[in-house]
Amino acid sequence: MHKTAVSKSAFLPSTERSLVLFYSLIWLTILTVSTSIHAEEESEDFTLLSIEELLEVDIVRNPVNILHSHIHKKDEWMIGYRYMNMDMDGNRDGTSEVSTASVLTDFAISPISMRMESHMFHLMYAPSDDLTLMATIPYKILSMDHVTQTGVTFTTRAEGIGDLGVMGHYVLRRAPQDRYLLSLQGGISFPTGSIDERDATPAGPDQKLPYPMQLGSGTYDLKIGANFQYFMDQWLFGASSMGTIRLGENDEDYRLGNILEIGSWATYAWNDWFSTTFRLNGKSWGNISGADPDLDPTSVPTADPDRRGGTRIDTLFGVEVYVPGGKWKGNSFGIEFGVPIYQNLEGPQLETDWSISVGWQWVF
Amino acid sequence: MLARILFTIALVFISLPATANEVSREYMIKAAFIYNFTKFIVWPQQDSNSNVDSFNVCILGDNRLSAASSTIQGKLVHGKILQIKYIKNVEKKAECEIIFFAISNTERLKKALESMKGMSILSVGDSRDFIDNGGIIGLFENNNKVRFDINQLAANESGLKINSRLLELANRVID
Repeated sequence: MHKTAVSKSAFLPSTERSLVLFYSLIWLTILTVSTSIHAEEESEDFTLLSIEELLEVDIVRNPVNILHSHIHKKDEWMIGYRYMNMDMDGNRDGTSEVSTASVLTDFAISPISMRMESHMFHLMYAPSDDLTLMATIPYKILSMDHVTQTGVTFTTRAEGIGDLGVMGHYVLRRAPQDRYLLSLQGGISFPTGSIDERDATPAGPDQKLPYPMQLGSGTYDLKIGANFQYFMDQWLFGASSMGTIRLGENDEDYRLGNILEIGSWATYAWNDWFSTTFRLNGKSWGNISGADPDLDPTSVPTADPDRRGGTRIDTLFGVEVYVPGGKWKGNSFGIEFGVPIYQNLEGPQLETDWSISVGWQWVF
Repeated sequence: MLARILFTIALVFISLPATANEVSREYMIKAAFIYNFTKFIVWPQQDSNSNVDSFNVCILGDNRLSAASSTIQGKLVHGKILQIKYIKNVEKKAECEIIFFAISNTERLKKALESMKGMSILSVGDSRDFIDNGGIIGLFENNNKVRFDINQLAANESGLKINSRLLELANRVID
């Protein structure tokens, strides 16, 4: 099976860097041209509010699904929950789709599809206007469908908590009235997710599951990133980058590939309770270093550490509803749907078809 | 691939507003505050600069409030119709019940406020030291919300009576 020429340890190879930059520039150009069109707008009528109510109105807000843009005010707490579902169907090698039959010419087993569900819980606290601390932990439910060369189909499943993340988000620079914010993020991911998930396969009961079916990395991972946000009237524009650097090898003698994510977004607040967001997100991840001795890399591509890397660019659209006052003030709900517009995978590897997430948060 | 790019472009236009303008949300909130202040302040009766037909809110300086002020134009205030006027200097102050000072130059601001002493005009500005320079109500942003300070001494000199409830809601009061 032909392998694409993507660097094994690429943080973001040059071709993928160009593509990420290219799509970001296209999106920014479209957005700039579109925002130059002006028309009459039906404004929200703040004159109907009393002075007491006006004192409670937020000038701008953050979108729910941009978790890493959250910068809170001193002594603010936030708790939140987000459900995510990602559907992967069919294999890809490089930028080309690959049939199951083609995969089965080189492997005894081919993955057909995978569903990744995640229930993520997060907690934030701001000890000052410039520092927000955040803890996140997911509960994952994974399932993968397979077919063998003899036509036998089977499904493997794994379920449990993933890795605990603890981050700090520090505002490096802000303009008067917070017209723009430049911030840094840093933190650690703790290996609380299992790397010893097992299930029955045609090879027998209690088989070690391949890499994508494990719940954690098994290593302490360093996370560092930067954020920029710019507020303009009812608009919020932002860009972010986040790197994940694996520290050492896990107990199964391997280390997952490093990750680099770059994203940009634009949010429009239609009024004080409804906003929409468009996001462009690029992600590049490396192959696995080392190998789990319990896995046979020749049996199924998901067990091959040299077929785990790749690059993907997603477009996502979301809406958020926010409760501006009353007993439920501070609650917000959001939903976001995304599709990839570019995938280049060290394959054969399952490709992503779509993702959806639904979130709730309460700021108090 | 082409279908996904077209879908992306469609998402961009769906996520953008069908109509858009550059009215600042912050200034829409401040305009609403100015309108609400009139409910808590009494102007002297039969003042020499009182207007018979309209209640005039004048904007002096740059136009940061101008687009948002249309939201309060036409409101009924003390039995009169609220009108927005743009004045280039304080020579025109006699036409105004309220003047919003959109002036960033401190010296120019001080001179303008000095020239208004004793006149029954509510001076409103949006800088934190506005009332320290002699203004009556200063609007400012704090923790993503609009707040206001009140200089009651300046209000008393102008003959304006400010309701105690408004004084309670102020962030800071000079008295």
